[in-house]
Amino acid sequence: MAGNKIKLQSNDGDTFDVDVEIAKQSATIKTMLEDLGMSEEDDVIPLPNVNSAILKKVIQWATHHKDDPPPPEDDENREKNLSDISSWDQDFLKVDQGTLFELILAANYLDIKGLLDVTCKTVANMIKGRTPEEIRRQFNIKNDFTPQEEEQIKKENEWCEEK
Amino acid sequence: MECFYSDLLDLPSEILMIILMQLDTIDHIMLIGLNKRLNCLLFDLTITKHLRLFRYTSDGHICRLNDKYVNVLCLQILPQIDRNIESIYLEESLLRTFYSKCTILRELVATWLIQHRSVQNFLFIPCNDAVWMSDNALILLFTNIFRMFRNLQDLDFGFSSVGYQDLSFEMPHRTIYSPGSFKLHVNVKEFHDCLYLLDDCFHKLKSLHIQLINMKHFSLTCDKSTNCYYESIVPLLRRMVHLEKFPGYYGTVGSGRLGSSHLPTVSCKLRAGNGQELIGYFLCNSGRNPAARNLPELAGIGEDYAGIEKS
Repeated sequence: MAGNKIKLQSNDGDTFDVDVEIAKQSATIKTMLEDLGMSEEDDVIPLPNVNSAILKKVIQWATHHKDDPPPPEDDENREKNLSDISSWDQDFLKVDQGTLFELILAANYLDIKGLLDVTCKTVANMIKGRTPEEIRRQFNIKNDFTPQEEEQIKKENEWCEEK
Repeated sequence: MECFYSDLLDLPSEILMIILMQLDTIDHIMLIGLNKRLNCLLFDLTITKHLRLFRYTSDGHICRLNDKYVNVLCLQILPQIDRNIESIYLEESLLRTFYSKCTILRELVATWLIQHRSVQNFLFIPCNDAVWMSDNALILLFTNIFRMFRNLQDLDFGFSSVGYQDLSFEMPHRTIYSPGSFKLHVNVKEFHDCLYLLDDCFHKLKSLHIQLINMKHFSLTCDKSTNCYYESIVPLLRRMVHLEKFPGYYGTVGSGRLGSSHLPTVSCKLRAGNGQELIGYFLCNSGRNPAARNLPELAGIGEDYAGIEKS
């Protein structure tokens, strides 16, 4: 039914027909439709921060999760639980690191809390339990300390390693 | 698929903070010293206000920091975040490391802790595989926590953990600094240890949970049998002049003084802070039987109790 669909346009020009209810999992799109008075039938919603491949993945995720209850509000005291990623999401997020980061950025831009939560947890899981050197290699983290600062750190560590 | 964000640090700080907040303090420590920008984020107030210096493994055991990271914590982290911390969650072996294993560390930590008094919540968890501590060592830890954290509002001294030890104030002990209004969760050995805490140490307790005076809510759990119920427990209750709620007691009272009820109770009358008379009913049960702790308010069983009333 045309009335229940919306057109989303990626930054490289591709257009995707998406169910309105699925698209409304994005608070950004929901706001555009409800507050800015964009009509569902005719208007194309441009998403200048998301490319076609990532938008396709986001729509795939949102379609799978269309019946999920709303995610809980943030609570800093809530116990951190990185193991509560569904097996579907785990498979969905078996992508290269660059794609994972693009998905995080898209989820943030589109304000899809569930997707942002699960993608950030996936990155956190990649950090958890690794040594500093493993983390540096995994994420290509460049050491930007000056030689003097590095020397200072080394000196401090040497001193305590002796104990 | 062409990607412009192939490195973690290509992500904006706002996103990195979301990722970092998913991690434990132990993971944060691993990341320190890798990169300047990452360091700035790791020392942000959002990350550093709650420190949890252990992690539960999937089978429920405690995974503790190794000594190398204790050193990093003491030398690099604590001095930089001292104004941020609101809560510290420690396990026993780490606290013992602070105090006994390394003199230099102990001095560093002591210096930092004494300068810094804003910690409000402190949870102390005995490590599963920790060597049992002597009574003296335990009291020393207990008193030092009060010396260090002057703004303490909530102390859980192993109360919530499985491998807890009971405190005993029998031997000559140090003076305990009494903070302002705060909550204390602690296990003690004897009733007179309760009296010591109430009379000599903490005049501004808001809430005391003991497995034992401005106390408005009170519960007591005991696994020792007592035939001195009226001599030791009731007087203790009568001193709690601000009680607003039925006191509950789960313990074993000598059977000779009880009726034959299948749910034996004894009771006493108490005068509440507002002058109203409260009647306390005390269920006799195995104090550390988890089922006993989960019993509903004792008021419900008061109507058909078969015990002895002694006002």
